[in-house]
Amino acid sequence: MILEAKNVSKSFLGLQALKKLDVSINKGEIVGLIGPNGAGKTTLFNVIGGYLKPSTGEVIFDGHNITGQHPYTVARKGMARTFQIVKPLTGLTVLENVMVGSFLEGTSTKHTQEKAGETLQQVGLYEKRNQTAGNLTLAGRKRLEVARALAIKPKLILLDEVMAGLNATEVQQTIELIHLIREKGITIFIIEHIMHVIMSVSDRVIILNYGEKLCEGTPKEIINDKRVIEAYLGEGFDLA
Amino acid sequence: MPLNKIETFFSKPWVKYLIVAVLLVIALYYGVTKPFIAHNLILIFLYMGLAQAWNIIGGYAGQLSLGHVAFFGIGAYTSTLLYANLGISPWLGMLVGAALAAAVAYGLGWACLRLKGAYLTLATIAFAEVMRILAANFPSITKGSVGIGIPFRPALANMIFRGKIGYVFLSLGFAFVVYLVCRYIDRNRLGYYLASIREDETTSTSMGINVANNKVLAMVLSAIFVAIGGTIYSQYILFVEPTSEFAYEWSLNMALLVIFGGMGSLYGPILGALILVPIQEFLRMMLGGAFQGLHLVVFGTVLILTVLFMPKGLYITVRDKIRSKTRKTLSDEGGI
Repeated sequence: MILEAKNVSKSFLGLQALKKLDVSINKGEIVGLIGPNGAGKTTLFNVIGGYLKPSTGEVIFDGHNITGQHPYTVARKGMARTFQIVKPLTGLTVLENVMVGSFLEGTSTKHTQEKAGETLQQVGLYEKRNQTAGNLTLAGRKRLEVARALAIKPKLILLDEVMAGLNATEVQQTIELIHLIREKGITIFIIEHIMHVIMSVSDRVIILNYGEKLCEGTPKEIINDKRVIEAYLGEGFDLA
Repeated sequence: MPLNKIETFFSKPWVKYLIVAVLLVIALYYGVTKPFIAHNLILIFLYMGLAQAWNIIGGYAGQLSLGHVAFFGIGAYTSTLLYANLGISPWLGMLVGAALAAAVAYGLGWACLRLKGAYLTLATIAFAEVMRILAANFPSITKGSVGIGIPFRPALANMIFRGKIGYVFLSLGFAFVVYLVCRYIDRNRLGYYLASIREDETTSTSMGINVANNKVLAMVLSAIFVAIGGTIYSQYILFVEPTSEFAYEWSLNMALLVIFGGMGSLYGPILGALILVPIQEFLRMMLGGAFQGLHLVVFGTVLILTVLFMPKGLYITVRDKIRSKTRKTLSDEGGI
């Protein structure tokens, strides 16, 4: 088990965004997280990554209790994330964006540059390495999010809607990228609204609704679950 | 292509050193013969170092401080008090002043650097004002508004020179040391981390950067060199007083030179000092007598125009223009 969130709750003033949630993820798994808007998916990512302190409960990552620790410490322990609303370092080049992450491994600039170049090759952004990150298209920026996350050599990577807004070809390329990340032995926890993506890449899917876990299971199990259809998928859903 | 060739020519290290050496020889020749030129050179080099130091926190890390005169004054007052009262060499006083400024910057950093944008700027201005008022109102230590004269005993050990040429070399050495430090920062991890923090703090955090620590470190490094500049200036003027060593103009000028030259770039502050300091002195000389403050009006207009037409500063604007031209010619030839 690489990640375990036990009895996690988070409330913002009166609003309970997460209610006594238990989530566990095994090493090497790809786990999908879905649910209607406002279900608490990104809030859960923020709590796991240390960006928000849970009101109750604890988060165990790779054997360490990381509850309430700074996000940068969590990142250094090997948990990377991408942001739903992409946050490139707009003024820097694509290569420099990734180098910032690669510097976690050592102080040599030359070595870091090489490492960052390798990472960019993996995500297919190497040709654009000298462009300013602010000039990338949305697809490019989403890729850069992934590249930056990979740069810190994580054990677990949290992907927050890396495919929203992409066209069909770009989605297909991103799915290939996800498989590639898994082959490197990195565990993936992914939020996504595009159902056929979630269904094809995930080993297991967790469904959130109003901050509670509605159910979880293999993709097959959940698309036939009555509660999921009612809360999220809708009647007559069919994986087209 | 010509532009491409020009860039590769200028990127050869020996060309750079040759240009710098030739300029220096010419400048020093006039510096020896004409006191007015020497005075300008001293100001240029002093401001070059100060702007370069300000650039660490203000440019690279993007934390707009307008209170750096606090560190300048600390440096000036510390070495002066130690020398005038206890006879301790200003060289040593300079290091003590730098250490004191580092300690103050550390405290100020932890207190203020969580503030963003205008709030941080206001806090730093307020801090510098507090320092000025303290200096004016503790006559038992600082002699208050009367100021402290430094006894004129020319000697290298006293950091006091007969004539101006000694100070030209002193300020040149200062500018060079700060340049070397900034070059190291620029090319290594700290520079990348600071740039990352400037662009987006949350993203920086997600890549394992301790944002708070790095900002404070940048502030401390910056303060150390500004304080050293303060000592050099007071040894040149041989007099310290609250309204001069804690004058708001110092903070403003450091920031202006960098904003004009190019924030967060290694050569921006150098260009800023080389161009703006002589213009400022020239305008003061030409227009200062005609109409009180006219030179400041002209100077201000020049700055407003620069910021309007080159918001990224002179160095970065020119560099990007050359780069985009070379990239275009490369793509014509089937390159990138």
